[in-house]
Amino acid sequence: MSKYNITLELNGVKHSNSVDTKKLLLNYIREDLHLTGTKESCGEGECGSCTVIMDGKAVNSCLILAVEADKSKITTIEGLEIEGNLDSIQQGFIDEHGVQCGFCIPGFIMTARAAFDSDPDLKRSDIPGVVAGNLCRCTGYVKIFKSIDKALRLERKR
Amino acid sequence: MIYIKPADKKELLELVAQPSFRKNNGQILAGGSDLLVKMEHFGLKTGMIVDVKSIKSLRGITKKDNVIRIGSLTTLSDILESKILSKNAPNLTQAAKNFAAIQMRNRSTIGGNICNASPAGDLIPPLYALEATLKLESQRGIRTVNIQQFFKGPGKTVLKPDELLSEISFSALPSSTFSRFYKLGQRESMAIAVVSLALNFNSENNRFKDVRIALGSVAPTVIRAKEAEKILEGTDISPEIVEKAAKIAAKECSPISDVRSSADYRRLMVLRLLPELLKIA
Repeated sequence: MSKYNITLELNGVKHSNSVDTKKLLLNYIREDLHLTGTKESCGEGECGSCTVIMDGKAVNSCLILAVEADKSKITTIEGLEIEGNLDSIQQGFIDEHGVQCGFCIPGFIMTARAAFDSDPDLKRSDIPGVVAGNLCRCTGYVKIFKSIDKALRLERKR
Repeated sequence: MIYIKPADKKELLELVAQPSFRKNNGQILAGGSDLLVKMEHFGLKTGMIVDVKSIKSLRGITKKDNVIRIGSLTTLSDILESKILSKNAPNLTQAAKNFAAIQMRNRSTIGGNICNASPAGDLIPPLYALEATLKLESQRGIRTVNIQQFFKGPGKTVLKPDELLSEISFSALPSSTFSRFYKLGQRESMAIAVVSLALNFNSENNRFKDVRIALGSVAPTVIRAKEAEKILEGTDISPEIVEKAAKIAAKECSPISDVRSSADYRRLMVLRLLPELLKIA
């Protein structure tokens, strides 16, 4: 009874696994699927480092059991690059030098990605509110906001 | 740990009525934003998780005959985006806006926020000011309680082990009602309230009418400042009466000192913030 079969689509690839019912989605992604771009910092939903997109919505994967993700569609930071082409948000962080230590960045990018996808009219002034659930211990917020703003402009050009 | 995902409400109520649910210290899992933290960081031991998220009938916001009904599994994001609520219960929308951040709002549910029974629960003060009714269901039947009778203390409610909070309902506010919410936290997002205030009131011939004042984080449960409401009701609107009411409301609080604030500061903030929220403009 402590194992449960789940089937989900992660970054476009179907996975079927038997997982421990206590396992967090975060640890399933990192340990079972070996995708370590999704990070754990606080482990209690405060910092957003573990953000993934689940069925179109940004969520903290540290507060979701792997079994809850059964039949869902998930995108992690590894799923953004398509055939060598970076996502516009990834490009924005490169162009604006938005990364310091980098630990929080996958979370910021996934939160921004979900917001771009759900709100095509997203404005520059919305950015701080969008990523309010993501913390950067290097406190590089100005460059992070600039990077996301650059991405917004890149996105509209594409 | 047993993981079960009942398909509908009937199956769920059967499940929580079984002795094995209690024997395993079974836990209802909705958004998980409180439960998973308790399990991962605060040593909550459970042998059974009942995941209720696939019960579609428990999610949604409707308005019929001036009554608004919110299913207990409605998420904070649903509440924030609801036009029914922004039109008919503005302070509830405002509280949802100040709730944590996007990642949490996408998962957290109104039922979870209520049943977690924190005196700092963000949605509870607006629901007090709206005089919301809670529908509690079990195999034994259905009962309704006023939200003010639901809480017994921090983390404690009148909910029985086999009972489920299924629906929250209240009357729509007239568009002329002043409906306000303010949360004082250590930052704008992701903050647990130091003090929170939710108000509804009308102004009729420059007199206060139907005043409802709810205060969060200043007592073991959210409270209504009933003495302050009484002073205001039917009285000419003036800065003096508002000051007086704020002093009375501050006395109605019984705050504690904790990591977020001292008791004195909480009382002082009620005294300072209430007059701001009672302004007609």
